[in-house]
Amino acid sequence: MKKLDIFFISLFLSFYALTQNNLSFSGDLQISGQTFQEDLLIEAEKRDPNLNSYLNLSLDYKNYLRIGTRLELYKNPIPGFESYEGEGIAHKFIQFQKWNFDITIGNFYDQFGSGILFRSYFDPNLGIDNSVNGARVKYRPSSGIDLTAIIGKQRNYWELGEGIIRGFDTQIYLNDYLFKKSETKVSLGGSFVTKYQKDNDPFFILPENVGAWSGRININKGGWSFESEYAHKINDPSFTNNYIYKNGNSIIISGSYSQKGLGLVLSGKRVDNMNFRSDRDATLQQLNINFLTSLNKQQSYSLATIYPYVTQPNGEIGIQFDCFYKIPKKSKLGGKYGTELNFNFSNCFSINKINPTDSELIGQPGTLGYESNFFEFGDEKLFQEININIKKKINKQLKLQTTYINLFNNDKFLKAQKLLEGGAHEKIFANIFILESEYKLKPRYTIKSELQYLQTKQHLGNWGMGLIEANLKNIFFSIQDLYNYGNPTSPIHYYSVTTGFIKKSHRIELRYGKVRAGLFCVGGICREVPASNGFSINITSSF
Amino acid sequence: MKHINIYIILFLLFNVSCDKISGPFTEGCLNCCGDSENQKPIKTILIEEFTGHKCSNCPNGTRIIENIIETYCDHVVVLACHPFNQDFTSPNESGPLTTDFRTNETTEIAEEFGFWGFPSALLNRINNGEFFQPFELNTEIQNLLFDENNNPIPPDLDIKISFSSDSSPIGINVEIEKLNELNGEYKLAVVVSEDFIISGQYDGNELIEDYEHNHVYRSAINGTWGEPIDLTETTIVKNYDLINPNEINDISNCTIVAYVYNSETKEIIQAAKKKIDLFEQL
Repeated sequence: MKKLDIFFISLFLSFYALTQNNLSFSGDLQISGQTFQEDLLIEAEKRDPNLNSYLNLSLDYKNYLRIGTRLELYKNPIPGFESYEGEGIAHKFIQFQKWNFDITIGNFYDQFGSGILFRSYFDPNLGIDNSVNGARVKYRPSSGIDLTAIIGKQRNYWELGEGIIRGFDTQIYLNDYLFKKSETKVSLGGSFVTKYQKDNDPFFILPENVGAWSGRININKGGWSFESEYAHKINDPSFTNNYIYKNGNSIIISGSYSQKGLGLVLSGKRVDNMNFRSDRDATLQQLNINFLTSLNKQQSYSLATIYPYVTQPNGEIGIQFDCFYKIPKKSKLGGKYGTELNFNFSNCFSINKINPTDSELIGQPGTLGYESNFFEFGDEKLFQEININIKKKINKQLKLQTTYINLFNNDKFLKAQKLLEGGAHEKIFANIFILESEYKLKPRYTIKSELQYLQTKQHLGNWGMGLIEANLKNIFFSIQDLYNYGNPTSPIHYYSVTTGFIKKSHRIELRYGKVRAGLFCVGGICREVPASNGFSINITSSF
Repeated sequence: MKHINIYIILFLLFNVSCDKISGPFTEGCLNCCGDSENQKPIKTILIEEFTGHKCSNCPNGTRIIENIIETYCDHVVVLACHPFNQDFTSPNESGPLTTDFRTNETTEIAEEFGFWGFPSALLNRINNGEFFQPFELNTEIQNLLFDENNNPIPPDLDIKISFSSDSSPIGINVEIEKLNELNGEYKLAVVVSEDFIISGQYDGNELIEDYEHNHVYRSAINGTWGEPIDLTETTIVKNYDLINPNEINDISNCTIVAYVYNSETKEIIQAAKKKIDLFEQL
């Protein structure tokens, strides 16, 4: 353990000992372990059991001083997480909040606007922890104005990234100053973020300071809402953009209307060379400074997650339309309890790219890379999804829900799916049908079932899925089978049995079964999951 | 006024300037090439580039390596390795991707050092055979070839390749001259590579039907792992016959690559190459 970590633990304990009377103590714990048996059919390898655990602890003194830490332990992490192997204090901070100031020294997570320029967050399932280790000062000079300044280096597994991030953000709620009685609420925001990394490259002339700025607006009136954010980044040659020197930009626009029983949202976005990392050589989920919002429905059904969309920071343009409508109770179509309808449409295209000069290729390292017409779509449709969902409560015990998904995933371009032996990436067209029922035996006792069917002529072919889940007060139990009967090599069953126990804020889950190889995505950020077969245990607890 | 001051202080504290590069975006490298008029031996390193004709990102890796060759010239020898057991290297039965570049030797090398994916490269097999991503190579090469003051690091030995005058089979002579005392066991490996093979290659989203494949590892002349050499002698000479492997398209596009490595660490200490010149050897 590093000297600094020992010092921090001592500080934590001393603080606890000296100030017990005014202290509150809280924390949460997660322990996950898994065994790995060989299974040649699903290409699962035999590996040593793994253990991923973390413990968050927080001490609050009165209401203005907080010391926090997170201890992490990773033993034999799965492929893709190997760099996390080890244990130690991964996160530590001291936070002071008083006199309109909020000052943090140490690790912190934060976000400017939608995150288009800066977002640091922790998602252990994706293997993401890009917390900034440094200092953050938040200041509210008067009601309606928020100022934030940050400086530091990002966490890179058990070390810190090479680059230094500096950032400044302002948020102004205009109605606190102008049109105070107006029903239209307007807020404006602006951010500026730079990163510094030394240029040691003997070949490329690399910018050591890369700056980026963004502006945003949010307008609300009654059920109407409009928000937009635009970001611009200067030349930032990196491994991810193949060392091109073009400026980057991104815009996101969203308009919505809602009233009782009705919700409409129309959003659009365009991303052009906006991968922004604090180390120009970083890859995968390493050292991202910004977060590019994904504009497609977040799926949770097993078969609907097989072909997810992976955000393309080097260039994408797309829209999303979402509509929710509840047919009123006691109407002909609505029945006794009403019927909920949800329609969602989203798509994404590549952006227009043309050669920077006649003698230079698109994306050629050491050039501007390409030129792009802002309003023109690229040649490739990358993704499209249509979701139709109907929820109906039949009686006090029974709820039914059905979903149809029409999917297009251009894996020929995205190249995100695992290839079959001798196969090639291809355009995938799929139809997914889902039927879900939930039957309430008595309060806190429910039986849930799911039937899913995925039809496609490409990649792994057709799938079927069945699930039965029982929640009996504190105990839950489920059995499910994903059956890839259309697999071109041979049909494969991915069965699993899960049981567990929940009491207050404590949960323990035991599982045995097979996990398919594929992508696990949250908000367009994905990681590859290898196939596995074995037991797993998950414990979560907060106190 | 007080608030404005705080605002300005915070902004100045956390803000810095930006570097806008207007071009050119690349620079030359002083002393990066050896002096061809001066026959003094120079340190030469081997890049084993792992690539595949169905790997759409690989041409980007190749372009980075071509830039490296342009920068470091005679300090660098490249072998393009196409191992078996990889989707990206398998040939199709028809169409532009029918050429089979794969070799058992490169597969053995991939397996020995824990190959993880394309595009990647071994650089003198340093760090126990670490596979680098192409963008990482520049910095590592700089460290291998130049000291902190940017002066060239002298080689421990010199390798000279020549061809015998017999026309068939072509005779290959490898002469190793020891320049520094070396501890440990060392091996010499001799390989034939081929340039200018025109065949298909995915490049980004495009399938280039007439892509030029260069530095292709064709076969090992004295086995994948070479043979031991006795460095108690100051000069070692080895002779081989180039039995024309069936896979070679055109012998006049071939190059002989020789390298010496430490048997224990597997790290390569010196490499050399010589293009087969049919007129010269005749």
